[in-house]
Amino acid sequence: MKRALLVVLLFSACAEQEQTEASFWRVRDMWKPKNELADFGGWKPRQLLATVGTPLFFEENAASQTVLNDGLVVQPGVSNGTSAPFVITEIWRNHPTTWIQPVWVPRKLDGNAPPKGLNVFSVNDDSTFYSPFWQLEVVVNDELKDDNEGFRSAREVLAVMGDEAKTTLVDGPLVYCPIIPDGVYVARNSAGVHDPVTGGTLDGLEQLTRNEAWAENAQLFYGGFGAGRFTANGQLPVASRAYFWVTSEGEPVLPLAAVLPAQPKAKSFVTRVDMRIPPTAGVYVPSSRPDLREKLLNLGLRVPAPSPANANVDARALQVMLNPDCVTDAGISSCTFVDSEAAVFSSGVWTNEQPVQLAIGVVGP
Amino acid sequence: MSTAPGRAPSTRPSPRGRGGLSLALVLFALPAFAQEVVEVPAEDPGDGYTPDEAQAEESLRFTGYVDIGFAKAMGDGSSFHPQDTRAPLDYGADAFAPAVNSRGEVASTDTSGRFTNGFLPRSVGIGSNASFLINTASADVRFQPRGLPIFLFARMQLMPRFSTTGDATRVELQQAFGRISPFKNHELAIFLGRFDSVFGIEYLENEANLRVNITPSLIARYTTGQGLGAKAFYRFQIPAIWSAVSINVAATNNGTRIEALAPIDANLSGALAGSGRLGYELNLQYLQIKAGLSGLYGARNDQKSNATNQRAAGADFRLNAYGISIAAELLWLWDDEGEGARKFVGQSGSRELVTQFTVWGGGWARLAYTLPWKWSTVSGITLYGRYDRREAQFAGFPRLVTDRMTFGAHVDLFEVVALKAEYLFNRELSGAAVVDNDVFTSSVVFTW
Repeated sequence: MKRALLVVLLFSACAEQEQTEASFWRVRDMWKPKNELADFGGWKPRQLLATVGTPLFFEENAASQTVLNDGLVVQPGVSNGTSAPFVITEIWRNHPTTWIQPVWVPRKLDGNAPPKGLNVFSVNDDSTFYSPFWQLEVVVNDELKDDNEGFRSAREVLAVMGDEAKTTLVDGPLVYCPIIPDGVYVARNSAGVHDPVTGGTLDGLEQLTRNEAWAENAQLFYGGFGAGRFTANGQLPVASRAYFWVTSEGEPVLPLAAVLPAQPKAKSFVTRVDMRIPPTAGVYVPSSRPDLREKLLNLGLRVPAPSPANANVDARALQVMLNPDCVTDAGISSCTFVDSEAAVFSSGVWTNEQPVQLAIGVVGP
Repeated sequence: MSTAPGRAPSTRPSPRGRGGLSLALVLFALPAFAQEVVEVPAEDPGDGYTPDEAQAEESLRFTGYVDIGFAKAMGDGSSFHPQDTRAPLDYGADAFAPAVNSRGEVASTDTSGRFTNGFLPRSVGIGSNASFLINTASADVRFQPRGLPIFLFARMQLMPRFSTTGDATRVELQQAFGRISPFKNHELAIFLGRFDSVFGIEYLENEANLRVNITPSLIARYTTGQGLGAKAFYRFQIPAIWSAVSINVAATNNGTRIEALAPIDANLSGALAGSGRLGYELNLQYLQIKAGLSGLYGARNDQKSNATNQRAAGADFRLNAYGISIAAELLWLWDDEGEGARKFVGQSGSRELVTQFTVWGGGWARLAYTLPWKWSTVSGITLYGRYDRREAQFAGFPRLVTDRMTFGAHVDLFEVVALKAEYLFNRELSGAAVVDNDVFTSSVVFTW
């Protein structure tokens, strides 16, 4: 018997382990991570979501600049030379498929929503099959009135769908709506929410995370990024490529301006492509942001101090220059910035596609 | 297999028997002088429907059965709502509800192209059409060398299917094991190979020729799967109180789930799954009571990590007296979320992600009554009803509460033919969309 037990134990101990671990992080994982030092597909949790009282990396070091609310950190991005600040709401690594799920929108016969009727999400965010990409299905039902509460669960919606005499189902647009825990917003300090590239204020984000809905009789909040944020092939969102700077393969993503595809607002589902920053390249930081420059220098990056003539080109902050001496010697117009997908291709920078997909919401104008 | 001193020879069910009901009839007819005799249970939880080699006169025997069915399901034969576009579709409905035969195969799993993730039964692919079926053609071979405490058994089954809308035709080596009974004076048996589950009691009726009714319960998918590995059964008789205590433990590749849900033939997780049942039985002249507690713990074999576990607990109860048979079983089950990107099902299937899953509570209770009349052609008539209930949930999806009421009749002819017919009333009580998936099914089982 002992021998049999030994065989069993040896068998278990020598077992081959799964090498490819599928991981998925939602906003709730970023908010209260099990491990603050965990790697969320190339980011630490606090790079993605800041908590009250902590400083924001891209802001200057002043007590007044600490975060006033738990919130998603606006990331620096650039697309075709234009700043494209964004938040990351979901990250998948080694994930087989990301699915578009239905979200049901109750409507009365007159086309208006019942005053108490909220949308119903078909899947909650504790499912590995959850994604923030939804097919909006408008459920027009003649029993929905001003005084009833509409639907709260998939069961209730599907029950009326089966009654074709009373219900009409209309396919609506595809929408990007991440489920976000109550109490999480976009991270802001006393001066508001800033574009980490330009430093400009980003308005109108307060309502982004304050939309209410139902999922299986439980009320939830979601980010309303709205329609036109992605395209689909059947029930699958189509992924574009977004480029992120790293010092070497497998390293965390650097806090520099990512290169997003053209029309970035319409491409919320992206695959992470790493760009290895060349040793000769540098990062532009305006003279008005000395603390940010110091932080980047501490990361081992080359951050030349710009000449007075090039000192405050805010729109270029956090962007990588292949010829960084340009900001000290000549005009900034002579700099070769990697600020578009075409510039990535022409730069000769080493790139490598990672098995990581992101849901990103561009929050700029 | 040797017989323990002081007790009667084994009376486990013959292939044409019906377990506890047959025993109840026997007990009913026995005179009172047998009070002090501890009857050996007709249903031996040691090996399920495995052969009764103690009664074998030849060392090599061939037996088997053919189960021919006729069934019709309502709706479209599946449990899927036609307008449900969630992915995976099988996480929001109980695809196992419209069962049509003793294998638990359903009338349809046709999703019209919608994505499912492997939580599906086998399907005969008849949709809502009434259809004849060869549910199973089963052949057994058993061999016991004379004078040796060794017994070999193999069961090969053929399931002819029309594959365009259902599963393909399959040939399955459902059981293949060797058994060693090392002690003459102790009821200890050690099995190696592929054998019946040890969890609960429903596996005892896996085969159509043993089952009182036709279709498995709503929790059978978790408890009745064959396992590949090793198991040991030990029963200790306590004649002074007409009782026996048994323990049945197994270490297998897969645990106790049916093969449609988790591969059996290879260990994918790198660790074994342990399962067992501790049973008590009281055997009186007119009354037999059996009760047991079951457990399961080990790695899920539908994925490749040895840290992703399955756990289950169960309780069962049976009572046989005066032609009345009561049986009931409860189950709780917890599956970890897996780390890998792939989920494995059946014999070669691969799906996506290994989702956390919970059975918050499931069970069934069956009441059967065997009429106290027999004729030369009709050797038994049994009426039965069963209630099933299952409350289960994939993480992030609705908590599905479903139940089923089954009513039917079972007639034995010439002791080699069983006629059965039943109706399944399936209900979606909560979480799942209401669909029309009731089933009428019937079965004629010829045993040879």
